[in-house]
Amino acid sequence: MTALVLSSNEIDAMATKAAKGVGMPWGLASDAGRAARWLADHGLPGPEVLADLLEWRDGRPHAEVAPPDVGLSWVDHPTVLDPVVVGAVCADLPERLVAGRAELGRIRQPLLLGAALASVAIRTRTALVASWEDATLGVGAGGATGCGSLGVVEAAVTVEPGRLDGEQLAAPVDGWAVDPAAWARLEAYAHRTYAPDTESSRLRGAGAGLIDD
Amino acid sequence: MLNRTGRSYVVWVQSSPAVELRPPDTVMKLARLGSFHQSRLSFMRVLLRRLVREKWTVERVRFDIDPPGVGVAVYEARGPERTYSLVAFGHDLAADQRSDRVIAQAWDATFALVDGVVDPATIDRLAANVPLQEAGRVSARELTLSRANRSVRLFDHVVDRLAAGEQPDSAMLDEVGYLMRTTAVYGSGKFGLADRERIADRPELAGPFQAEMLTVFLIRAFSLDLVEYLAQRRSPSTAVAMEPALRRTLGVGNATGLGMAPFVINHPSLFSNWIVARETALARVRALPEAEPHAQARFLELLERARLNAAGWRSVHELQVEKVATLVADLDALRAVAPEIVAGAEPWDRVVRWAEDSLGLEGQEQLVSLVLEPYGALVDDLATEMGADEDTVFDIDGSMTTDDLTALVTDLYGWALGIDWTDLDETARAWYVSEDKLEPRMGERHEEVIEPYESPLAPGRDAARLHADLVAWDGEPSVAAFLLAHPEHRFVTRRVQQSIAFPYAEIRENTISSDVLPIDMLRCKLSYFGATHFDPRSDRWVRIIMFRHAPFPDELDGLLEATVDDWCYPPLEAERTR
Repeated sequence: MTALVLSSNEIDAMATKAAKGVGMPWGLASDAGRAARWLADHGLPGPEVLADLLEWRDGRPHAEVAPPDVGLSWVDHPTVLDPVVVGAVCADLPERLVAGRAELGRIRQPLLLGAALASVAIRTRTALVASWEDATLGVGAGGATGCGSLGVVEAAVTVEPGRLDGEQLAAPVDGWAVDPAAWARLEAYAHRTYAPDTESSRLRGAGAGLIDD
Repeated sequence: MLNRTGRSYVVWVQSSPAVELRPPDTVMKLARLGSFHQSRLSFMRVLLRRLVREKWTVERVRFDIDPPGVGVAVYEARGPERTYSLVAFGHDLAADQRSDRVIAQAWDATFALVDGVVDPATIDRLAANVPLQEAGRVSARELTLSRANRSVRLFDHVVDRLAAGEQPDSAMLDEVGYLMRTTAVYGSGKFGLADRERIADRPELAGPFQAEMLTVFLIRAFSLDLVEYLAQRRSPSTAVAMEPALRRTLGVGNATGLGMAPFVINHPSLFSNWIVARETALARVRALPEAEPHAQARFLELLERARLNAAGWRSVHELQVEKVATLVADLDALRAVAPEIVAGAEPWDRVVRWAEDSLGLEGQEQLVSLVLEPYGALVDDLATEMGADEDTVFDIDGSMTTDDLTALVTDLYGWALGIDWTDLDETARAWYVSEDKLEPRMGERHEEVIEPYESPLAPGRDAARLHADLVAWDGEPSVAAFLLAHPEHRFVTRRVQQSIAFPYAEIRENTISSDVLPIDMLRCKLSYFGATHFDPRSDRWVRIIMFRHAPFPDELDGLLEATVDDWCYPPLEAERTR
């Protein structure tokens, strides 16, 4: 099966519904949609890493994957955190995030922090560098850069103001070519948000007949 | 310039006194939004003014169609910098397949608007996908994807008459108003189309829905070409073309269902900008101390033509029939007093105030559109402020205190806090998406198993829930901490905070009550498109006419921007032929 080329809007919409499908409320699901879209817009595998995250997230309650407070210092937190929730706290508190070095603890699919960090960087006009293992992801008004092994499944992440270096991350010219298997997983999660097609729904729900002249 | 002072919004006009905008609590009610009419700021009018101003040309570069209408046609629209091509595919559709519904699988014609000119390879690629619509894939080179069905009765009548060398029956043309009816015009990245961000920096596409409106304008030309061509093929020796005056009376139909209603809720900053533009235009005109004679004459002429439009407005829906009747009566009452009022001081403010006391909502909102008409130079610039960069308003201010958020909810959503949400009638409906072709639907929450699939389209109820949990909150008093503990309120909190900068973002009424009419939302959005003749077929499905009385592409040459723009009101001569 060949790769499917997608628009950013399609990625955002599907990712949002898929995140809702595994139980994220609509607000966080919208953050997940933006996270996947931002990665694809920067030539990184947004739908693919989100599919992995959602598989991990499926069935886990919010409290288990959310940080314990909004202190942005969770290095000693005993369990792995959801990057969508961590990203939401970071994006909600931009001034706190850029005030110094933030030890965000162990995070699943840390690439998914990208959109939230980029938003903070743009609003505070402060370039930020996120680091995990040998990888760094830089975000600023001028765009995003990356180096090292960005795509790890889990890692301890720190974020601090810094300078962007490494390879400039750019959108593919024709749109993101998604791995069909990952897209199918997102579709399956999204499908959980669709109501079953009953006879009553079909006849009444759209308020229109089935045949027209 | 819009500034918030206390609870009101004020517009400043150079060398004029400040006039307050009509407040959101007045404007953002469903019954009023459901009475909006097209105006100078409507997207079809913005498009046609530009096509004329910039001397765009349209050429039919390919028309390979065989009876009964199968094949491909291509229209190139050429502007000063870029060309866009409408690729039209004609199909042979069985009568029992013809449906307005999203769940339809086949259509009489399908279309794509392509960025640039098309080569044969592109046509081949599109031919394998565009006829499938949602089930096909298009690319970032395409801007829109759409489809249309014939109005069978009128289409066949027109072909029959033209083939016989006769003109079609003008009463039948009036009755239906179009040869083809679109059932969806997709854009903005759907099914692989170009994302809006890719094209939004082009002046001709910067305004909302300009690519979609161009598509429909070209589909209208195709529908007329098609009937004339089929008539010619059927009887080459006798067939005639349609008379230009009759052609003009035909627009493009459109059937719009529930899928469009959520748009005005899902795009709060954009929707607010649309409303603010029109309200600001109104405030600017109301601030004028007097009306020049030519402005008075213009207004009074278009009032007559608006009445003609209302009198010719056909609907089969009981509610709309009643609304049209009150509109006609309203315009008659207005005709009786308008000449004297607009000749006096502060004419537009006075006539609007008179209408508030004397007319129904249909008449009041028709008047709002009419008073803008003489003042293109004063208001048309507002059309450039009707877009929105939605990404910049996505973020939540987590440093806001929960007390401040509580106060904001109380201020902006007081209307929702006053609703008894335990009353089953207030939560009778739920919006959802069906697994069947992802058709948006609305159902009975307390009778069907749909609540688990509910779309977030009840901001009032959600704001009331937010308010209750805020009042009970005893944790760290920041919005960030509150939302970490209450992620279920993140969605509505985003809306509440957006409403600070976008005061008209929210429909200030219950969108899930037993008496909600989704057609009110459809009417509002479609009025901004520039639609006329709203004909609801139920409480959640409406047919409209687009571009009726507009010039055709081959008539644009030589027209002036100032004179082309009144096409949306039927010409007075029509009265004589009626």
